Amino acid sequence: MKSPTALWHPRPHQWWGLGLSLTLSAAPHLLRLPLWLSAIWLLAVGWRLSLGVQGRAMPALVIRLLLTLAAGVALYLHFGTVLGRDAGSALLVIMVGLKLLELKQRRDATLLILLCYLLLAIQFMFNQAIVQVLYTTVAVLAITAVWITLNNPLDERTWRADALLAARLLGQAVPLTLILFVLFPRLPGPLWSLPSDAHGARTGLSGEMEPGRISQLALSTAVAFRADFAGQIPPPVQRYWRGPVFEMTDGRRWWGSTETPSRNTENALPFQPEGQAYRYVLTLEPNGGTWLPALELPASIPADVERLHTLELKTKQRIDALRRDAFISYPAYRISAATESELRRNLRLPNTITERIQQLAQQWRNAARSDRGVIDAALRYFHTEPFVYTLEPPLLGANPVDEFLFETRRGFCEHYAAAFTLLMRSAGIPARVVTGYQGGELNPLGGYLIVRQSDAHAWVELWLGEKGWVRFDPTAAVAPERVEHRIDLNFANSGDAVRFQLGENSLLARGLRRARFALDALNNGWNQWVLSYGPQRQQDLLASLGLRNITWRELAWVLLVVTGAALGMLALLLLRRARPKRDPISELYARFRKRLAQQGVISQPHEGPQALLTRIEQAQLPSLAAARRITELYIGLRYAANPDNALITELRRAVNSFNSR
Amino acid sequence: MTSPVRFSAALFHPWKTLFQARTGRVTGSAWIELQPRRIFILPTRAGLGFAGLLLVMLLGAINYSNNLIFALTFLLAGLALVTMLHTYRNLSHLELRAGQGRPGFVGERLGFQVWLRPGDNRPRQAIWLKAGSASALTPVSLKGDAVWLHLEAQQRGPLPLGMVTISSSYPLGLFRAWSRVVFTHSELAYPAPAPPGPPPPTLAEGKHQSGTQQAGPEDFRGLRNYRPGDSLRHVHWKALAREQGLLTKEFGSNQARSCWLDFASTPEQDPEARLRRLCRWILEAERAQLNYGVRLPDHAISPARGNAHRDRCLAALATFGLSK
Repeated sequence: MKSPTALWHPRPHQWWGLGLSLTLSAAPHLLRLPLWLSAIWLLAVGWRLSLGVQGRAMPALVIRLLLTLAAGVALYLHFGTVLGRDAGSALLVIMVGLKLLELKQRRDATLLILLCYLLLAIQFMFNQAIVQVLYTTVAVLAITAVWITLNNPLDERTWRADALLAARLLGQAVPLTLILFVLFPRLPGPLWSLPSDAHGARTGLSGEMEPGRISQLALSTAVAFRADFAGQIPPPVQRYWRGPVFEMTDGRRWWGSTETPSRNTENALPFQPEGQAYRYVLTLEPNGGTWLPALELPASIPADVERLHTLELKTKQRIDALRRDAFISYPAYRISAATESELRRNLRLPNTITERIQQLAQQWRNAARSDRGVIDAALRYFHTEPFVYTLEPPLLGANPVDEFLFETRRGFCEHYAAAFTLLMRSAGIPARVVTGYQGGELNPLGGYLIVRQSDAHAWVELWLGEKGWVRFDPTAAVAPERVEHRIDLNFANSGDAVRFQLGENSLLARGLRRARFALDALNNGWNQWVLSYGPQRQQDLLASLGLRNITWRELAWVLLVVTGAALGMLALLLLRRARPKRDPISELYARFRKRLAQQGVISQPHEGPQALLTRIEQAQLPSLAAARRITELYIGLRYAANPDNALITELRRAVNSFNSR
Repeated sequence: MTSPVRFSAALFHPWKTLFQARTGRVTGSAWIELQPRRIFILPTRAGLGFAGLLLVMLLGAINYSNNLIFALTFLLAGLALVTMLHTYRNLSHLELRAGQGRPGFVGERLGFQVWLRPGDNRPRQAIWLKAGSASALTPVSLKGDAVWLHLEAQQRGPLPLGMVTISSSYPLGLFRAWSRVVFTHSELAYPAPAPPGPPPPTLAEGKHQSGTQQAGPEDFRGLRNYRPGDSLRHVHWKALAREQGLLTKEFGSNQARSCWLDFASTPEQDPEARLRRLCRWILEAERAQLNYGVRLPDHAISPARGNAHRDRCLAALATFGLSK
């Protein structure tokens, strides 16, 4: 006999269960850790398991201490820290593995199970894909089943029974999960400052531009954002998504000006819409930056976003979680207001400007009658001279624009935008570089646009007097396909000119394309419904349910009531009493004895049917014949290999009519 | 069908009454059902640890604005709430009754048998029973299962099983549900046999008598009706085969070697010591295959032998002088 707190000796299947739980929860982390660390982890866990299964004691204290110390030092040497997301989670994984080494009590095993759940949660900081969620679901099921096994020392049931029970428990928990997910008051995070690696390295638009920056970004097919249009989708030539605008340069680096304040406070729009308005919801992947690339030009802006004087949108906090914002944009517009200082700033030339750049610009200025003529001459120059549009341009030295214009003549959009801007400024036309994304792929299954990092782009805005700031895309002069088609990254590393995806020929390619769209539509739904659910969406959802402007305190009450109701319903289902299915023959005989008792013959628990019959005979009951028949039938049925249904019916009839004398 | 209501009544019961032992009572060998209102449930230490883990995960989810950590946290919270119901359900409508136990001597552990069966159609897992220092763990199948609880007897006489705590923290150990039942049923503790010492004086007398009667120990004396306790070796099987009923063959030695174990004739003076001596004599007489009777100040048991007879004699010693 053991007491509940006694020392614990897990049986082999419980050891295997623990090993499985640990491996399932640590596996995604181990794939990320350095190989040697993962190998040590697996060895230590495997060693302890084999010791445990053989019923042998845990390794000596010295060995455990040494291992722990060595692992800690190794981690520190690898990461240079033990804090932060990456090093911290690695430390936890290692320590969970080593905890298994010193397992001696039941509560150690319980602690391990809890840590397994924690490891699965932490993995979501690294990966939030649907596949990861499926994996976690399976792992949670397995860990819960193992936990049940650990809690039933007498269990002679199979793992299948435990897994089934785990599935039932989790299945019953799902409605509660949904309620909590939707109604639990969502506070805008973070509560305290996050470690610098909290969200990992992310790709996205940068606050400055250098030759090679955007072409680097454009090599990634990662999704930058998705835009779901209500109604019409703008044509490709109008799909310019405005990111940071650069007015300042030293000839190589470009950055934005901080001289003028934001334009949030203006009542009127800072531009005049011309033509059609497009409504859409933009779901932005976390990019670690502060730029919100809306379609040029958005009329309404979210509350936590600032509209800079150059009309790009900047968030107040780093975008580390999925954002979902509704916009109305006007692709046709006129920006007719500019201050003196703004125009001066956009005419400023860097010190590194060379003679031949200025000569080239001056030559166009002299030949043309208007600004328009100068611009046309410049675009013609890019078109007719042997310029190449390539993702892998040669490295440029101290004066990249000069080198690019007159020597290498191979560049990506940032090279063309920078060169074009400096040429225009040299010709006396105020010019600035706009970066962002251009294009977007329509997912025919979801009816939304997918914009990837490979759609990153740079173009130019020129001040044309009363027409205001007007967009020009010098890249289009070199490679007109860029505006209409996506870059084919299959040929990106050849150093040649960029190739474009002009259409699919083979059936297989079309099939693959369809599959890719289906997968993206799934991811998009996932983003819309799960990942982007936050304080704002919760408010919107509650408002649509009639709970407008609810405080989080009231929401907590709503949550409590709804959860309580759900739990009560589950309790009704679970605790409903199911009558035992006893043997009908015994039931009938028990009824017979009850009726006998009503007539004064009280049967004893130890009394067999024959002895009872003898007493009935002595008591001289009037229904003696019926009692004889019932006893005879009962004994016959009780010892029959296959009780005859007809006889059971007869017994039932006899018992039911027993005291109706 | 009022059980959920009662369940919540038990859950939110005021603390004061929660810890008063509201118990069921098992008398005789009748089945008693654990009533929902008599079942209590509280989180265990593991349950509190789990709550701590959920809190950590929740803070992480808020801090990192990570919806999937939110979802996992809520799934585990839901799991905990669901297991609360399952743990409670593991006990509710469980039926118990006392079974046939094992008496013993003072200083030994008496065996109490408790039968459990579900009062509905669900088998149960990992049910703990605890009474005093004894505990036992059992699953409960639909047919019913028995567990043994062993309690040490401190003094002679009937030892009631008393209060039994039935508990379970199945399936996850996050909550512990318990209920208490008082068993009025008792097992007898016989006086502890005195250390080996002088043989009973009547035994020496009996031997002397057998010597004078000149009757050989194997002399057949005749037949009489079977009495419980007669050795099966002496049953007249042929008569049984002829359907003459159960008859016992009597031998000369049977009569000759019968003896009386007398309370008054023990060397000890203290009544308890006398009982312990008698107990020793009874055991020795039974081992020696003698016919023995016990004479106590208030009543006597006529000579016979066999385990049933021995137990009757020991029971008389055990209850001697105890008011009923």
